[in-house]
Amino acid sequence: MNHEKNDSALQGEQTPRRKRGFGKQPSSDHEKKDQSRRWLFWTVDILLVVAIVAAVLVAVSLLTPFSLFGSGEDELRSITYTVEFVGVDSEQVSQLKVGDTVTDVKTGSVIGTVSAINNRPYEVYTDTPIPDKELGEDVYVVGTYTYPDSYVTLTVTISVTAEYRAGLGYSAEDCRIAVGSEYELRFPSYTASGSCIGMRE
Amino acid sequence: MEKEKKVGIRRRFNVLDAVLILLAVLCIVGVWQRKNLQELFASGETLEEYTITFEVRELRSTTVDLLTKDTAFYLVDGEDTVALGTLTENVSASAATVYLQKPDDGETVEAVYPQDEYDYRLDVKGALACRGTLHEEHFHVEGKVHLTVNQVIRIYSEKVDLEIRITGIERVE
Repeated sequence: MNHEKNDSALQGEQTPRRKRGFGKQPSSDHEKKDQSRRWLFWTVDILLVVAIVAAVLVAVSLLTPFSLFGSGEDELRSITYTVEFVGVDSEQVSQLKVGDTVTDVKTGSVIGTVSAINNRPYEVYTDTPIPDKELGEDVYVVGTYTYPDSYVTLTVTISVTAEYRAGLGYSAEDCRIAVGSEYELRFPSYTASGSCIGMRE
Repeated sequence: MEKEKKVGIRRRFNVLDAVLILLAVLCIVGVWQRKNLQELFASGETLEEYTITFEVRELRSTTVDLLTKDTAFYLVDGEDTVALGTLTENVSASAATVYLQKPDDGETVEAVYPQDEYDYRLDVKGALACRGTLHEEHFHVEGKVHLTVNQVIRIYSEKVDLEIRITGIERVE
């Protein structure tokens, strides 16, 4: 190799001199440094954008009722709940069938499908105290009156896949479902008002 | 030339950049702690621990079964949902009673609601652990809603809607 070099030198060709300091090898180090500096600036720019976006989100969340972060995600859960209708005309009970779709009149939401129907005699409490010797001396129970067979108490069990949100509970479309809630429900061929008396997941 | 370039680049990363990065970090912390910040801005006062005692009369037993310790309740104030507190323990229940007059002699007696497999009425008492502020004898739960003894309010948990009568509001020492 050295001979080759000498030969070319003798022939008057000039071989490029190696650059010192910022030569080819050092030059790639310089490029690497430049590149890392560029990444640093990119990082700062990205942080700037994140800071501005976060500031806007915080301001919106704090100053308006609208929360961009959402108050929680809804989870879908299958539940069954029971609604009781009292004083129902026994001849109209046949208007209800298992499989009927149930709609809440107030919200217009479809809130499930009938999965069971039961009825029992319609009984009301009276203002008359009745002595109950079985419970003890001078113990009275509130009197009851059972309506003739023409009236019944109807319990309808409804199944639905509801949206569940922790802390708030269950809802089907826009209708909250909870024990103790009063509903006016529409079935395909019947409408009645009653209250939710039980719920199960 | 390269040296000048080096110096120039060093100068571009300065105090302003550090301040902006700090602001970004503060914003991220602010987002993370947004709830606490909202409470701070909303109430401006420190919330203290209180116990609200209540009663419900003639409640169906199937509903009472859902009133267990640590059940969280909230109430609705306009469009806002306000945390009311959690039950400190399972509610205490006794057979629901009502005062009626005997038809023969007109004597008033206390009568118990009959219990059958369908309907089982109970009178219930419970206590809710909550936070609030007391200012000039006005108690505000979560610093937002004014509540008083003997007030009837509708409260909600995940599974139950309930009307309660407040029987006491006590600060927890």
